Amino acid sequence: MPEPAIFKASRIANQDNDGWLTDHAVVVDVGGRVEAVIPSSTLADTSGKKTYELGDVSLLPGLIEAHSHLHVSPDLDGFANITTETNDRMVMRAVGAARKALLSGVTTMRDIGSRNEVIFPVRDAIESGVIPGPRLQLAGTPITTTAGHCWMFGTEADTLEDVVRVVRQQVKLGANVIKIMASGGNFTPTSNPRMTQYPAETLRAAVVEAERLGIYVVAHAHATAGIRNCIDAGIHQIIHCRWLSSDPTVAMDYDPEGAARLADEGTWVDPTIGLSVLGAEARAAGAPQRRLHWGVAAARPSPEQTIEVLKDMRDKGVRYTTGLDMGMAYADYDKSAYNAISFVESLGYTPWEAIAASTSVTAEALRVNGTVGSLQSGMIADMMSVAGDPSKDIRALAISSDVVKGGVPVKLGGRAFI
Amino acid sequence: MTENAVFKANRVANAEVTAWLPDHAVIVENGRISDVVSQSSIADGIPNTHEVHDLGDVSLLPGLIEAHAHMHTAAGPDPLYTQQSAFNDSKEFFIMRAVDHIRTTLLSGVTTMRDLGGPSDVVFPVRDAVRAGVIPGPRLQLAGAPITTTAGHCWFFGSEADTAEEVVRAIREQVKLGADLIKIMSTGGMFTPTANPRSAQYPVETLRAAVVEAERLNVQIVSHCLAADGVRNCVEAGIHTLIHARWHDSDFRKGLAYDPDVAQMAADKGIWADPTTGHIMIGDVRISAGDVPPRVPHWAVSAATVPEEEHDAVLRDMRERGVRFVTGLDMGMAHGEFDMSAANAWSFVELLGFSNWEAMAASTVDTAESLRLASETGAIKAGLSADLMAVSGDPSNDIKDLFNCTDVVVEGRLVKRDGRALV
Repeated sequence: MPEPAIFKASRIANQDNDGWLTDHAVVVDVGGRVEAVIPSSTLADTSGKKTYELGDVSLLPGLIEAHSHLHVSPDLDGFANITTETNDRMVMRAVGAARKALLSGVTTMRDIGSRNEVIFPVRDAIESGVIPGPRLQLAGTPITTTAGHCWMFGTEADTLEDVVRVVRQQVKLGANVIKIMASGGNFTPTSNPRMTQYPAETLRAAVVEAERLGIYVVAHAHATAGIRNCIDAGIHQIIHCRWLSSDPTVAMDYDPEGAARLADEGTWVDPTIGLSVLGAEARAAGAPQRRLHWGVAAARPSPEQTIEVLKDMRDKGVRYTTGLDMGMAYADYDKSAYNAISFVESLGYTPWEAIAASTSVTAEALRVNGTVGSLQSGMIADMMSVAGDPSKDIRALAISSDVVKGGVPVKLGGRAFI
Repeated sequence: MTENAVFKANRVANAEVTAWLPDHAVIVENGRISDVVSQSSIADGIPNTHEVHDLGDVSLLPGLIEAHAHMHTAAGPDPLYTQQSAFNDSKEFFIMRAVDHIRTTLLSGVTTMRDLGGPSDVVFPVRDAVRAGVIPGPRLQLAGAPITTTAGHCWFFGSEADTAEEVVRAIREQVKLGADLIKIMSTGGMFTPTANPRSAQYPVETLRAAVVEAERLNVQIVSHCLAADGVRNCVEAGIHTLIHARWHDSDFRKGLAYDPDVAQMAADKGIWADPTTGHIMIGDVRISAGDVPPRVPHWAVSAATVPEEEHDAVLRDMRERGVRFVTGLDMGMAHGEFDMSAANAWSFVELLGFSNWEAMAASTVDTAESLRLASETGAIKAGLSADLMAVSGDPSNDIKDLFNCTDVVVEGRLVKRDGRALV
């Protein structure tokens, strides 16, 4: 239960996440919300408030992870496990994954694709205090075609009518967001990442239905044709957005005009580039190559090609969310900082831009920026700190010192209480 | 995968858990203890082949053995919440609680945990996941669903069986599902409003049939018994361990009906007792400190509440007659939190007259013997599984130092180091 508290730190991110407030304190009220962020020297009456001296750390809003699959084992056995394990086993994996994410500093997490029987009970358990974990925004099962991308934890729907019905079913079960697979994906050998799975009309029907029910739609799209369908349908966010050519001998088919339309229409993109950095680091340390999907084996986009396109999209005004694709090989649940790290090291963000992307910007994409993502009066007191200064070295984000969820510390000075 | 390792500590418990070996080291190879040697006699080349952990000024003991847990229930200071959540929560909630709880227990220094009653669709999948390395946890020995009468004690996670034939079938079913032992409720219990803790649930013939069937299938059988009638039935039937061993009179107006002859028979037959004094003592400490309200007595015992001192005197007499005690907290019940296994040893010292070393031996080597695991765990000696826990301080001076767990090794795998969880 939250209690009135004061968290003092040498550096606290300002409310725009673009500079430090030095020697400030976050004052937390009895409801676990930020009452004020003020210079420590101006703290007046501190009686009745527990004071935490966090010391020489950088205190930030809790990280927001926009893309997880909590029930998948983040290793090369992920596919074998997901196709053979029981729901019970997946629930057990999710318990450990949720704790790991929270202790790394992720206080809000969007899961965009896990079995309904697994992920909704996990959220209920976190909200009931049965297990520790971040605040969860959930898609539940992704909507896909029969045998389509992630069918093994998705809900299969082939026609427009089926898709609309499944959108309603997911909302009934408690989904806050709809995930639909607009193209095939690398994880699923029976899907084709270079080809669309739905026509634009079907995607449009999903968007209309989701909007009618007050939620939004994110779509997995690797293929250029799938991205075009998403744009035509008014999909709110595109996941991956890799512009794969439909020709298996040609790696990419980037369409700058399409990118400009994404920017114009305010369509967010989750570039999942942190996953690439983690994979490269793992392989440099001797880990084996991920299994290559047959659809891309003949002509894979080079990392440089992908980064060049993502930079160009950003230059055109496309905004990015920090989604790691947690659960894929090497994207472990405590690696959310690799979103910001990759944005700086690969995409040319400044460290503050990357910090904002991981907090207030992604909060806006998730439509939760009224409650989390920034340390200012009235917001939920979700915070994480790191030793060092991530505005100078973004890699400092990778190791959390303190984590506070709703005003309640779950980790202090590197020691976990959960 | 477990690496070869050396764990050095200023104080290492000897193989009998009766004294410290000063400045010794435990050598671990392939998950098992290969040697226990003086630090000064470690071969020079050992860092080339073993990871060396110098734990420093700690007391290194065998991992604790917790003989009585309900991993799926919500322990805590509020008994109503514990009870209602056990009644109402979904299987998924039970699984999630269990995953969280067994990790907590492991990190408190418990490397072997016996679960004496949980839904079989919860506890067996959890054990499978621990064994598969998917989730962290102690070695688990499981009863599965306890066998009880219709509406009897813990029916809401038990297997209801009313006749001798049904009890035998229920034992076979639990063994088929993977039970390592059988738990049967020979009397009612406080946790279950529709059960009567003062009266027997089964006649001695039924309990005897259960013992015969369990022994035929090579599993132990332990029995919950709060009433003197139930204790007598269990002892006559040859039940292997008496859980609680409280001797409530069948007359609602009376307290205990302790029968020293039955206690002597239990001792003579080598029957163990699990007095579950730890969680009762923790509750008493909290109540007397005003941290929680007094207990609400069960309807069957409210007319004649028995002072704990009276029960403790009975337990001491049982011990003097030769009944041996296991360290079962009743984890998952009110005041039986999952990091409180050390309260077993504390209560044995505080209430039952054990020396500190006797209590530490009870928590390790003795309970391992009772659980039939003495050739696997419970002592720091060559050949056994490398199950270790270290505490700061010296629990031979202050038994409460057992709560200050700094390091944990289970089956050779370091899962906590210097107070920090690695799992």
